[in-house]
Amino acid sequence: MRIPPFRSQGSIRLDRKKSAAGLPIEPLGPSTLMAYSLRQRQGHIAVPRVAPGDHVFRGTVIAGGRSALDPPIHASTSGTVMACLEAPFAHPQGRSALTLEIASDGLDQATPPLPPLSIRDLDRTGLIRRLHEAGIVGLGGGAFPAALKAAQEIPLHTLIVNGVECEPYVSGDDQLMRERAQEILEGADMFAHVLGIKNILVAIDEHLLDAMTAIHEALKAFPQERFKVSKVEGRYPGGGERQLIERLIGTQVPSGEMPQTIGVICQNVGTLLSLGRAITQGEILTSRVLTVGGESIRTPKNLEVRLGTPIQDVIRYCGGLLAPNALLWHGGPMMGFEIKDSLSPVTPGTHAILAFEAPAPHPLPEPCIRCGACNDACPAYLLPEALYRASRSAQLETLRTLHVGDCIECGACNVVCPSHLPLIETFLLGKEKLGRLSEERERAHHARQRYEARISRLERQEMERERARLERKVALEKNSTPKILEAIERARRKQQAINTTLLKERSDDDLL
Amino acid sequence: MNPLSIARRPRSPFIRSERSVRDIMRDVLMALVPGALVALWLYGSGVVFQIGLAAASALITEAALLALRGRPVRATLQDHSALLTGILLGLSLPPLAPWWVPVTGAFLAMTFGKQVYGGLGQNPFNPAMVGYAMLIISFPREMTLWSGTFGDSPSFSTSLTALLTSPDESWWDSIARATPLTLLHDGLKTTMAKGLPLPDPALTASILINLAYLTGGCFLVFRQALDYRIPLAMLIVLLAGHMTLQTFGGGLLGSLQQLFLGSTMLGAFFIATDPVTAANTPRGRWVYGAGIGAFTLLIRSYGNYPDGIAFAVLLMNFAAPSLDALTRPKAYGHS
Repeated sequence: MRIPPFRSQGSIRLDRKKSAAGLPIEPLGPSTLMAYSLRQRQGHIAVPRVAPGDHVFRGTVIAGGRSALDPPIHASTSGTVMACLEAPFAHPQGRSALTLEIASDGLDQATPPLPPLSIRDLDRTGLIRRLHEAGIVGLGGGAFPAALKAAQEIPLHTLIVNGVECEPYVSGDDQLMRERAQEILEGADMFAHVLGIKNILVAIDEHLLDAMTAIHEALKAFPQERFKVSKVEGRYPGGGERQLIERLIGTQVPSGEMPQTIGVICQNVGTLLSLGRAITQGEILTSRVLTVGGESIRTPKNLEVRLGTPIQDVIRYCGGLLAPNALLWHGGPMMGFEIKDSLSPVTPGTHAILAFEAPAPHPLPEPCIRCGACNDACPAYLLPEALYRASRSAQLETLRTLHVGDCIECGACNVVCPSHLPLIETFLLGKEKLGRLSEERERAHHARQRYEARISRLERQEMERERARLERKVALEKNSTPKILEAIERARRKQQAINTTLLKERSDDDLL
Repeated sequence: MNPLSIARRPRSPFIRSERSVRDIMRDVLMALVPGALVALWLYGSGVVFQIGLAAASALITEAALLALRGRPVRATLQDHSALLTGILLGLSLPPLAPWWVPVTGAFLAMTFGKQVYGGLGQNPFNPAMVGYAMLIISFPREMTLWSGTFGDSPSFSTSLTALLTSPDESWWDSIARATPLTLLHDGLKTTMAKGLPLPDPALTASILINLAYLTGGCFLVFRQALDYRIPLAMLIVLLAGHMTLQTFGGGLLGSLQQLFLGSTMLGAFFIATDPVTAANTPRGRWVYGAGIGAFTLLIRSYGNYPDGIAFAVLLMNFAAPSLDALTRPKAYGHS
């Protein structure tokens, strides 16, 4: 690791290991058994729209698609729905989710593509509908529905094309830019055109020279004044959306807001490519480009893989593992996580599948010596060291004032920590506790509101009853006929007489 | 929550810092070598005695206290932090101080400077300077007698005599020499101010040793084992402040010489930069270093002690938590 004498604030320099760099993208055909996890963002489960036994084509909607928040899930090859069951999927905690399993029929027949759209008469609504129908989601790792991203009606001035692949080992975007620069730029051009965006900034990591050449070459066919290519310093996390915006535009995205609030929208190169194809060719998103790499993969590759392919099959295609007990990893080494079950399917968020030598235990944490390396590394300008202390002692208010919620969990602080402290994990716990606290407060607030509402309701009912009683009384007195009044008077007198008699009898008894 | 159980699972980020606390401490120890060698050459074998005794006392005290606190002894000692504290203290002591000075100093440093607060990372004050301050207050005579200078170091037997026996005043008078800073300080206290003639060999010695520490310090900056902000701010303030004082007729010596007197470079690169007790935010570190520079200059010029580094560091240690609170960086997306 190169150690420059001065730290620069907000990023770190990582070893640029790229085991599959420069290797052409190979297509990988469908597996015999494909699996589609129905779990969407934020734990929402898409509703299945096929049943076991149904026949599907590549591009058939098999689940979801009922609302903008619920993008459709498409089958990525033709075949028969076998089952709808709980199955593992790539998740940091190794959870399982409702999954549709489809046995491929080997024919790989597709549904007819959606009608191609003409860019001339495509408006925002049309674009959003198409992105939704084609199932386009962010392919940078977040899998955020592209339709949702385009839906906010805020005037935008800049589209940032994110070609900053800052994690080690990952080279899919690099390769996409080298091979399909034209299509990426077309997608960007169309997206910007429909949303009325004036400037397109193509941001590329300074180390990706071939990608840069390819983009420059492809740009010759586009209006020069709309496009600008920016070389971004190859530091981590340079490709983080907020970090990239600050670096390129010079403005920070307000905490808790989307970049659109400052007129900027960011799209990953792969997303723009599939977005462009969805518009011009009506192509549905059924595959994605990903990197298979790491020291324990026999032949690292950049692959175009059908969504739903079991990770195991992808690895097998790359010659398998060099060590039987290799550690499988989903995503980049910085922000990814361990794959607990290699049967988990490839999802739109799977931008890399890595394998490393047997999980070397992380060094044991030592006491924090407050060296401050983390404070200099944090791209959100937080104080990880102070956050760590506050998290460990569960000082939730301090965590809040230190803005733990703005931690992007990039792991830069973990990498520089000489004490090998589990910083991000601790912050996650802190965030969770803080979330629980505000949840509890919310609940307490609701309970209090409910209680107060009940009290006032009871009071109101009581008052209404009282008023009704009074009204009845008044009405009775007003409307009563003399006959009734006489009857009441008679009854009263009779009662009095009885009482008098009783009294007399009692006093007689006493006398006796 | 048990941090150990989390730490042993493979987790992101998969990449980890290749260096540990121990590596940083080892870098600092290595960076002290040039300074220690020059000191040995100038002040004789007494330097080795002081370093050895202080280090041994620091290690033994740390081990004993760790055992008392029920903490792992062997693993903790291997982080080299106790060794470093002992050596730093030993280097700050007069080479001819009697044996109980380094022993007591290191004991106090490790006990009241470090372990009572919970060990490494928990102490608010620089342990070596806690020990040094306690010594200079308790034993002012032993702590201000220096001997040896450029080309005239005390012999082995003289050093050993001073270490083991308690020689009387007349013996001391025959060999002790005041340091340049003490001379200047006393000169200022009496009548002379500017332009005081300094014995050249003493000044040369002081400059040599400071250059050696500066070299080690630069090595540490390059290795990122310390935060360059602290020494840089301290030296800038020391220099600028001194030049200001000189303009108004209060300063001593030439400006550059001020940087190479006493323990300036040892203090700037090895004492003030103790990360545990320094301010922690990036901006806070600039202020922290500047504060040490200012206090050093003030104590040197107007205080009772010829060299003010130890007290300047301890004073800024007090200020560090407040500095952290006042200089917190603005988090991303918060205006």
